Amino acid sequence: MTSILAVVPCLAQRDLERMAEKVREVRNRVNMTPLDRATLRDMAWQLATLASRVRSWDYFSTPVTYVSVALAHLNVIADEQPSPTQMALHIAELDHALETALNELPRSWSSATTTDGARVAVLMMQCSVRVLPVGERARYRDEFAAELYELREAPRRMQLAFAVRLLIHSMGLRRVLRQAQVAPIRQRGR
Amino acid sequence: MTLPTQLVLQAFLDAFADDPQRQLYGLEVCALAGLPTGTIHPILARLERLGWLHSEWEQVDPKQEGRPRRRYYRLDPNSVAAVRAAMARAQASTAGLRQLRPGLAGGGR
Repeated sequence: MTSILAVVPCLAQRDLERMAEKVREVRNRVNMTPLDRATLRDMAWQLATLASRVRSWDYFSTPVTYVSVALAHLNVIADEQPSPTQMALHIAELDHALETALNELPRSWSSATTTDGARVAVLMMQCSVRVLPVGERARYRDEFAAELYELREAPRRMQLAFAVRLLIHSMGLRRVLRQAQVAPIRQRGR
Repeated sequence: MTLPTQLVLQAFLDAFADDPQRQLYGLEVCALAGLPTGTIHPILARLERLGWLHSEWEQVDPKQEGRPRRRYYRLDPNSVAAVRAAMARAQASTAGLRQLRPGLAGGGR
C-alpha cells in the first residue's frame, strides 16, 4: 500500500508537468506567423486530453479552468476564420488564460504531493467507473466524485473504504446498467 | 428481495412519510439504511430501472457552491403502493431468517 501511495502523487504531478509543457508550447506556437491551423487543432486536442486527466485528479483544478478558457479561444482561432481584429482579441485572451494557468500550476503541484490518500481513493473511483457501460460513465463519475467530496473531512481510511466498496460493487452496477440497456432492445425485437 | 434492498426501500419510505418531496443522495441513503458507503449504487440503479425511484442532478452551480453537484433520488409517488406491497411480501418471506439471526441487517429494527 505504501508503494501505491508514493506512486499516485507522482502520477498526478507528471500530468501537471505535461500540461504545463503543452501550455508553453501552445503559447509559443500561437505567437508564430503564419498560423498553422492544423497544428493548432492538434495541440488543442492534446491540451484538452491532458486537462481532462488533471481534472480527474483534482475536480476543481484552477489551472484546468484557465486551460478550458484558453481552449475555447484556441478552437475559434484554429477552426473559424475570425477577422484580424477579432483574431487579435482571441489571441490576447488566449495568452492571458495560458499565462494564468501557468501561474496557478505551482499551487496544484503542492496539493498533488500532499493528499496522497485522497488520490488513491480517486484512482480507485476512476477504476470503478471504467468498468461501467460507456454511456453511463460520465454520470457515475460525477455522482461518485460528489460523494467522495462529501467525505473530504472524514479520516483517510473512510475515504479509501468508500472507494474500495465502489470498486467491489462496480461489477454489480455494470450488470444492472447493461440489463437496463439490453431490455428495451429485446422488447423492440418482439 | 435482498435485505440491503429492503433497507434502502425502507429508508425511502420513511423519507417519503416525512415529506413526499424529500430527496436523498447516496451517502444519506447509506446513513438512513445503515449500510456501508459505496455499496448501494447497484440497488439504486435497479430500483430506478423498475421505475420506483427517480433521480436528478442537484440544481446548483458547482463553481459557485465550491463542490460537485449531488445526484438526488426520490421515491416515485405513483409507486409507493407497489413498493409497500413488495416490502410486505419480502418481509414475510425473510421473517423466518430474521428469527434465526436476529443480528442480521435490519433484523434488529
